[in-house]
Amino acid sequence: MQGHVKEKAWWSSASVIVVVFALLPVAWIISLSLKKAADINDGSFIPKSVTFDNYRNIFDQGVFTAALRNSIGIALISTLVAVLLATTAAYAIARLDFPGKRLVLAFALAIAMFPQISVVSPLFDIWRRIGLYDTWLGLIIPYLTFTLPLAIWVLSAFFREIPWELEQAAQTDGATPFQAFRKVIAPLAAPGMFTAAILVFIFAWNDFLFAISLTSTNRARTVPAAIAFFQGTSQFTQPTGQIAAAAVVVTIPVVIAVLIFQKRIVSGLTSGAVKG
Amino acid sequence: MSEIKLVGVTRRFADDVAVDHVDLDIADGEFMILVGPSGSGKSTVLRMIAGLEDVSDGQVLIDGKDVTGSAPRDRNLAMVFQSYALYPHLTVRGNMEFPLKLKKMPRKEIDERVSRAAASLELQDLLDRKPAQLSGGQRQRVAMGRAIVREPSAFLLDEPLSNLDAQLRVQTRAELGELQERLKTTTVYVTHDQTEAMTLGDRVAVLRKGRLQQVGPPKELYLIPANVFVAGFIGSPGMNFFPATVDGTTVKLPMVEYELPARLADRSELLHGTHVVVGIRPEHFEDVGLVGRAERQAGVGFTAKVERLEWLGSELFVHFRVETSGDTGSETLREVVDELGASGVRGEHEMLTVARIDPASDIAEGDEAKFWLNTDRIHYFDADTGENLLQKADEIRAGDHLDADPSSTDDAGPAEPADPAEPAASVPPSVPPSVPPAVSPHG
Repeated sequence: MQGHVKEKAWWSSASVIVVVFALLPVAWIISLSLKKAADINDGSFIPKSVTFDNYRNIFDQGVFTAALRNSIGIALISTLVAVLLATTAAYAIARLDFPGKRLVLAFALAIAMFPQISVVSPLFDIWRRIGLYDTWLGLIIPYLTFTLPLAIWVLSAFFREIPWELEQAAQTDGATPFQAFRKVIAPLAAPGMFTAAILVFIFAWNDFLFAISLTSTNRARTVPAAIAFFQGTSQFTQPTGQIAAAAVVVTIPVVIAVLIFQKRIVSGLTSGAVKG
Repeated sequence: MSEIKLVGVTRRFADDVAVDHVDLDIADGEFMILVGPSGSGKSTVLRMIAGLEDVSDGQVLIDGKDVTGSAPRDRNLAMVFQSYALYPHLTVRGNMEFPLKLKKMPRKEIDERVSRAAASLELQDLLDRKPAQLSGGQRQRVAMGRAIVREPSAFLLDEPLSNLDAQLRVQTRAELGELQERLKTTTVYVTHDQTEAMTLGDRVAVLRKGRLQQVGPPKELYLIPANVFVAGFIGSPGMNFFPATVDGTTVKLPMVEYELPARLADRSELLHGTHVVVGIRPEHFEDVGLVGRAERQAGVGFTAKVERLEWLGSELFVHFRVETSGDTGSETLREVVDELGASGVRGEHEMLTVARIDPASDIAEGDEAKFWLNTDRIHYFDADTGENLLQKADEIRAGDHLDADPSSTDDAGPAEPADPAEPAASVPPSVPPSVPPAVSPHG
């Protein structure tokens, strides 16, 4: 009994430490975003007086609203295209026997591991030359490059678990190969698609490196990059409050998405088991 | 309602031939069974008919139309898979509607057909369940339902009963037979279980290593096996094989010598000088004491030590050992026995003989018992090729039995239906099937 209590105490204190460690910075950002400009540097965790001025302020700035639009558009398009392409690619990898199949998978993984910084400067030059610099497409392409491999891996694991007989059953039932895919295989692989979609979305949404390097104006600059361009209320004030408010605003969609699809993501990341 | 014709159908894989020039005519409304041990290519044949497997060579014809290259959806065949392949995300109703919706059938007709099929398969109460909430037997019925609603040209069933437990299998087998009887839809049924083959099929096609061995009504396969393989595969427990030497009209078996029956005497030259393997069905042995004097003339007696008894009430299996002079000398036979043994069809070592005798016998384990052997019912095979050497003679003899009133013959194997022309499956499902539960193969 004694041991049991001890063990419980040990686990709960460990959990508390981990949670505090993970959430303290977030709480701190939230606290900063609610402080008045004058209180920013007072060092207290709880704001003396709560104000939403910072939030109002950032939505008044064209920099932020344009960036928010860009972020949402670019992340959603990247997600859609990546999941679409990854689904077809993963399906082919899971179902077809073609030469170099393993090579494709290994190569895809290698690309995902590639240090992004090493491609940024060549991309900058190429994009400038062919006119993709500072455009949505200019960001969507590198996002696809880096997220597709992971999406393909996740999805091909899913497709592999779906019994092939289901597809054959659909075909003898009178379905075209595409109908068999759409009506039988795709619904069964849906958890995998959600997982892949969330991973791609988060990557595109959070990216800072490409966003800061390959954009220059409100045309395509996303929120993480735009935050760096915030201006204080005067030349001499730091826009700390606004930055904190913007950080909170961009965190919310990700948190909501993860909470909504939590169950599916967990099942997606662990196994992808589809049992009949 | 269709006839299916296979012409020299062959399926080659990178380094072997799964199906080798199979010719098969399946008549309209016929219940055709493809049977063989695992690896015999029976499922591949079925999948080629369905269009799920490429045909390397040869043709598949449905109603005279060459469909060799057409997609599965253009063949109007319904397939039931071994795993049932129910769509897990759809309800029972959704599963059954699926093929009809693809045909863009009017809603009213879909509902009508589904409720009719559901009624005939007793699925009405399950229509809104998902497959995961069903038992094995129910899933099997849904898979059948999905096939029936389409009213296809033919049913293709790939081991549809192998995932059910023994009791349910016997019951479902009867229901399946009854269903086919009622719908009169051409059916091709793949199984490795010779009991299913014997009880269900109008005709049975036996496959081995991708080659067709023999096609015929169950009784014909039983009485006139074309070769050692068919002889050993059909019947449960399986046929006993012995090496034999034939000298004139004298046949020398390891345990006994006898004269060829008069009707075979003039064919003895077919056997002479050939390496011969003799095949004897378990029911052609009997306890000497239970054989009438007149009958005794048609056979020969011998003594053997009883190793094991299996008393099943209506029948008694006696296993006795036969001393052989070592080598049986037949590569073919050893191969066949290994193959059948390995696939669980007949686990007997060839020299441990099994006899099915009258349960009234008082033979006991360990006895030196006296047996009687019906020498008129023995099959003779070529030890090298495995071919039935006296197939003609078998046919003549079988002719009497095939014509005779089935109830008066005593040569029906334990798993054989009373009359293959009227499959046991015609028994209503509520009544326990007249076929005894499959005698599990020994070993």
